[in-house]
Amino acid sequence: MLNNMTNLKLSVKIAVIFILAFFLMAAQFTGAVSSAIAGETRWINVSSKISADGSMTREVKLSPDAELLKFAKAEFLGDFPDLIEEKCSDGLVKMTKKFVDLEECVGVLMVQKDLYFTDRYQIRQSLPLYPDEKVMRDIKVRFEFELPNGVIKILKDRKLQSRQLGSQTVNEFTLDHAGNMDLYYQFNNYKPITAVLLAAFLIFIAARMTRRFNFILIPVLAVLIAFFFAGIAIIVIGESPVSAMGAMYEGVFASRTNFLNMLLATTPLIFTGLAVSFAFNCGLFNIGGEGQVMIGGFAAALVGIVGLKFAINPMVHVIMAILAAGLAAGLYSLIAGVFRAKFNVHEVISTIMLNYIAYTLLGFLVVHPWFKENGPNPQTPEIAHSAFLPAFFARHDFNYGFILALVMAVFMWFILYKTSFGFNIRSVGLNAKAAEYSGINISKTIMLTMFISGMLAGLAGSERVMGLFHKYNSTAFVGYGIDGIAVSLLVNNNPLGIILSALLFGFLKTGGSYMNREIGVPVELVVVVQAVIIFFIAADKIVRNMLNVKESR
Amino acid sequence: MNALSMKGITKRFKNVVANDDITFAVAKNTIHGLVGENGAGKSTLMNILYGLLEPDEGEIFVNEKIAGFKGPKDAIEAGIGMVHQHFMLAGPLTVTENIILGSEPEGGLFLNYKKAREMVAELSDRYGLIVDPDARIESIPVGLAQRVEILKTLYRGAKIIILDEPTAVLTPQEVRELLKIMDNLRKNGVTIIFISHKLKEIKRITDEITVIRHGKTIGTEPTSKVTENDIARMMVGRDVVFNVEKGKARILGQGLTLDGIVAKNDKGLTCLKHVSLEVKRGEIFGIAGVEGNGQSELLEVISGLRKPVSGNVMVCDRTNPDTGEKDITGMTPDEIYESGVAHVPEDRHKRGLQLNFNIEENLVTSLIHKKPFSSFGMICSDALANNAAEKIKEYDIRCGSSRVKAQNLSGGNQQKVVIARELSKQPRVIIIAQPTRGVDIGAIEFIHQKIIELRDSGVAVLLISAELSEIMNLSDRIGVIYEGEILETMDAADATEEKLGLLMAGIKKGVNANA
Amino acid sequence: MEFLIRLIISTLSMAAPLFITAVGGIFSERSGVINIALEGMMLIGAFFGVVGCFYTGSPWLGLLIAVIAGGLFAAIHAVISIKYHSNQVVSGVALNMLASGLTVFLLDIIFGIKGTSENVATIPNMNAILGVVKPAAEAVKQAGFDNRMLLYKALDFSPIILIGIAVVFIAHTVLFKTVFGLRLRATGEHAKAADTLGISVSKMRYAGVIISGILAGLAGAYLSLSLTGAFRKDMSAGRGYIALAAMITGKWSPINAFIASLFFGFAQALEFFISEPVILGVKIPQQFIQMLPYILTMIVLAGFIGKSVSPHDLGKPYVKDEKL
Repeated sequence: MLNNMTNLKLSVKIAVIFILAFFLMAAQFTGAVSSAIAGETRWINVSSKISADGSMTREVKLSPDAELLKFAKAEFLGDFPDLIEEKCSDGLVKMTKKFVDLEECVGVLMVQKDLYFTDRYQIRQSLPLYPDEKVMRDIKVRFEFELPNGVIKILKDRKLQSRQLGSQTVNEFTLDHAGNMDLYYQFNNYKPITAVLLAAFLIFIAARMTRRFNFILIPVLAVLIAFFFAGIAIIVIGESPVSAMGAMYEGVFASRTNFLNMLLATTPLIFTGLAVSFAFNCGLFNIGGEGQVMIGGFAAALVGIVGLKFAINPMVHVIMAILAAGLAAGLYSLIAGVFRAKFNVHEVISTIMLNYIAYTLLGFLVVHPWFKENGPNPQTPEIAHSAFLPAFFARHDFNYGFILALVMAVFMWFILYKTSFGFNIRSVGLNAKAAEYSGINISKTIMLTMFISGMLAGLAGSERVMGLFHKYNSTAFVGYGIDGIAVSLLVNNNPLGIILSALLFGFLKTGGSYMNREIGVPVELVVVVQAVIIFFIAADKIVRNMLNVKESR
Repeated sequence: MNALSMKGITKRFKNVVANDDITFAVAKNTIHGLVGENGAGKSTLMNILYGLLEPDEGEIFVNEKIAGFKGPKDAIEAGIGMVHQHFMLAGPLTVTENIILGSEPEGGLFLNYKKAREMVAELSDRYGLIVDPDARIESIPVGLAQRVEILKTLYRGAKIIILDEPTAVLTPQEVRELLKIMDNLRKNGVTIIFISHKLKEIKRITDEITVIRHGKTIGTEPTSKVTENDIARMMVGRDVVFNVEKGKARILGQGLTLDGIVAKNDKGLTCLKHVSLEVKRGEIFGIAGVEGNGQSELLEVISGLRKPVSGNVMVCDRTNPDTGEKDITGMTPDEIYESGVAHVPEDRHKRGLQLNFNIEENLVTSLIHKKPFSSFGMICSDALANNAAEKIKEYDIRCGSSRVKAQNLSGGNQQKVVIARELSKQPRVIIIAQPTRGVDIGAIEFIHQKIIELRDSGVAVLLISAELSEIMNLSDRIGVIYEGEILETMDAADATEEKLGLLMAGIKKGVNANA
Repeated sequence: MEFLIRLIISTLSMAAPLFITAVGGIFSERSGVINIALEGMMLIGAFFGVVGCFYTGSPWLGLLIAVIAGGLFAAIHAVISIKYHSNQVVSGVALNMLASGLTVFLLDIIFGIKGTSENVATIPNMNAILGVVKPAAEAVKQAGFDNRMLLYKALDFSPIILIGIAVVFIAHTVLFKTVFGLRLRATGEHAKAADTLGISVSKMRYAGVIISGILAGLAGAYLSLSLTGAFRKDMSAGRGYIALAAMITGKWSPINAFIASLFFGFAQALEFFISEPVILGVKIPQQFIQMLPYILTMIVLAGFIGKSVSPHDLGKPYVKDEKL
């Protein structure tokens, strides 16, 4: 009973933190900069309301100046004959026009609705030049848009003064621009994000209450905390975390290309995540993913280049190249395995050293006359087409490597949890003494595990070479191995969980670079987020203390 | 005057009461023996005295003054020093460095190594504890390392020194030296609490003894008034007497033969000195003895975890047991299982179970690669579940479901899981060590029953236990191990507690007790 | 003569960040905390050195800020490893990642440029500090004797190198001749023993880890404030790991690590002079020389040439046992 009470109290505490965090972000987001309206200025208020059925009602309200009226009628209402004009009590003139659909708006503004995953509208409003140069400075236009649902985001333009309120946006301009210019508005419906966050929160609460799914609490909370830190960082640099989050979301879901980009970024993470997880299940910490990815990539490239001289059946060639990559990287990782099993050299140190050995070795090989492409870059020639991993769609590199990654994840899960070999690996990982007693050959298991772990990392390299770069380049293979550590640790090294966690990191990577382009938040924020996630996974005691969850050993 | 007294000390760990209202007092300038089996609560009591643990109840008096220790620092200040069972010495540091660590002379910025060295040399002269002050700990033998530990306490001005099983790791020569040193210390006004279960030493050196059993004080006696087998009886107790119903053994042919096994322990000391014994199929051979006399190493040798220096282990053939014996010396644990030897290890947490695995999985470790549990390397989870259901029923393993992790089971149920697994290997020979340690009474009876059944089905059973009553009740023949030797083998019918007690204390018939 | 001076100075310049960081690593690991985050700490030092110099205008203040930043950054590792008993390797990996991300993130915000910072004032070299002026070319020609030129060149190195060498010997003294050093080493070898003697294990470890951050920060500042005068993305370029290698091949002793670093620095410096050294008639590609530190570390760890044994309690979080 007492326990339940503390549980409840904690949940409330957490909920309060969440709400506060939300308000903090919302404050930034609504933190309106409403400019004082100057006395002499004449205003044209243009407010448009778009309904769910695609119709738009536009109201233009302005002072009854003939010149101004003519200008507004032409520029903002397209000179349609069926507009209603009326005098308001405050002496202003109000013109109203109802556009039946978005088609009809053309000429007044452009509306595009994107149907891919998001409920996004993109609006282009032309801002015309006022003909009379003398007074143009005194005329200001205020745009107001309202959409059926969702949050509005204005594409970055620091000159705009904007106020955003829920699904409404208000913008003010002086018509003194040197020429015609277009304003772009983008209206996003962030329902999916809200849903995801809400779902995470609900899962979290449910897991806490039922105490059955405690194992997902820590990863979920670690991710949320990391996002929270990222949100603060974004606020500090003067951006809105909501629009940053929105940009990330768009970067992944706004178009098919973006979505495929994410899947493409996910593929190697699944492989390297599996490499780390497989070793971890045997109590080994393979941080040699970096080097193994490179070795695998180079091996695949070599086999790929062979195809330039001899015609090889694509099917055979692809399989050969993948096997070569796996074998080369596996053997490379086996060095660390042998050092551990035979000389008791800790694999963390030996794999770090092997990373750099691989890096320098390949730096040598790649410029060696045997492999070097003519040209300034240290890279191999492009591999034969027969060794390309087939892509799913034309004009996008997203390839069957992803399927291989999924298959490997399931396969590794199967090996670890459904075969006697995996049973032994886990035995060694959990309690080597007991494993030894039950007749398992510890050194053999360690060596074999390191081989398989390296092989998985090597597959990541082969996918990059055969599916994306189509050559080995000494700089393009950096980072995958380290990311694999984050991917694996987040889900407690469960091979199936790795698919989800790799997707999350793929999302962060693709969304992050899009966010960088869109609103200028440095893409390295993603790396910071990743690091913070690992921190909280590593120091799970902090999270456990927050949650009051006992350690399940 | 009492140098030290502890009154009503109670300490609980989770569910276990390690010390239950312990009271004892140590007179000044004496050596006080604290005796009891492993797990009796001696170490806990001493850790409380040294400030490493805080008691839940009770008071400590030093020199008749009440003392409350928050940490070792307080205890050190009160003049208490402790030599831990596992040495608290940093290997690459020198003798002097280890001794002065934490209370360096003239606490300035720089280490006055020269002065420290002199102080150490002076101390070592005064108490006759000769060590090279500049030697690195990792390069000196255990006996000397222990002197360093004693010097450490003396350096801190200890007037009461706790020696926690100091002789467990020493050679007989070193033991003799240590006893001499202790005597010397006593002469120099030091009070010593000497923890041991080697009765000969206790008898020889102490002035008084206190016996602890199952966390309770059994009694304090002047050493001169008790004999070694009195002490042994007090230690082992007679309260746990279960009369197991068993018929007469039907002895079949050869089961397990050990021939002249010599082996070294982790410290490199010879711990098994030419052990030879024979266990026939259909009998239970019990090995009695105070712990630490080579039992653990003997188990490891038989199960393949430790390679003997010399000697052979032979077992009967698995399929045709009567066709003669096979040498299994030097085989891997895996091959030894295949030869029909099963093994219930003494420490189920360390070796016997994967605590993080569930019951189903724990019932098949080391069997997993065999049918029906897996075929072509793939685990048949149905077979695992069926097997678990069957075993849970047969062995009365009390658990919520077969998917419960082993760590969540009670000691008795954990042990049942281990026994169930080992028996399912259908061995011809089984080695069972400490089968009922930390096991509740209901489970004890059940496990004893199982062991008898096993015997009756024609398996050779080697039983090793620290519980004398267990050995006496179950065994058909009993051998007593002492300092790595089987002193004597006898029929269970001929064994009396007295006789065994004497042997366990290393006293052979007809030999002078104080030899 | 001139060649020799140039070789020595290049060797020292390449070795300095290695041995300063390696000595830092020794403090951390001798106290029992694995530190593979040296790389990240170095990077943080390099970055905050530049930032400090950018805002204060003084490279010396920049150096101070770098050292503080390195120490604070290491404190994260300390808290996570010591207070929360977490896996020290995982924490190290996360710190390296954080350093790499955070520096570029802040770089973008502070300087608004991607990849490199603005150039800042550098720490003057010894010749500038001592007022040795480069003699005019004609003067040298006329005299026909280049003593002054030699002197100028011989002093053409950063004072941080001198600080670094001093650090090595001070570290040696601190570790082996002071009370603090004795307690630190004891903590890393046998934490429980230290605890039973009333030494606070966590205090010692905090000290060890934070010292490692301070020194790695110093080494980082050397890279950015002495060598380049600007911060570049990931400019530590694996030097933290070579320092780790130097620490291990140097068997966790400052002076040995110093010698190992000099050797590694020499191998790196060689690149400036010979593109492909020839040994016994065989051309050795540069990359193989670069590989040397790593291979040597593996060999030493495996015990092929003098076994290198880590402190006994290295990587083991110290938890006061409920039941001893």
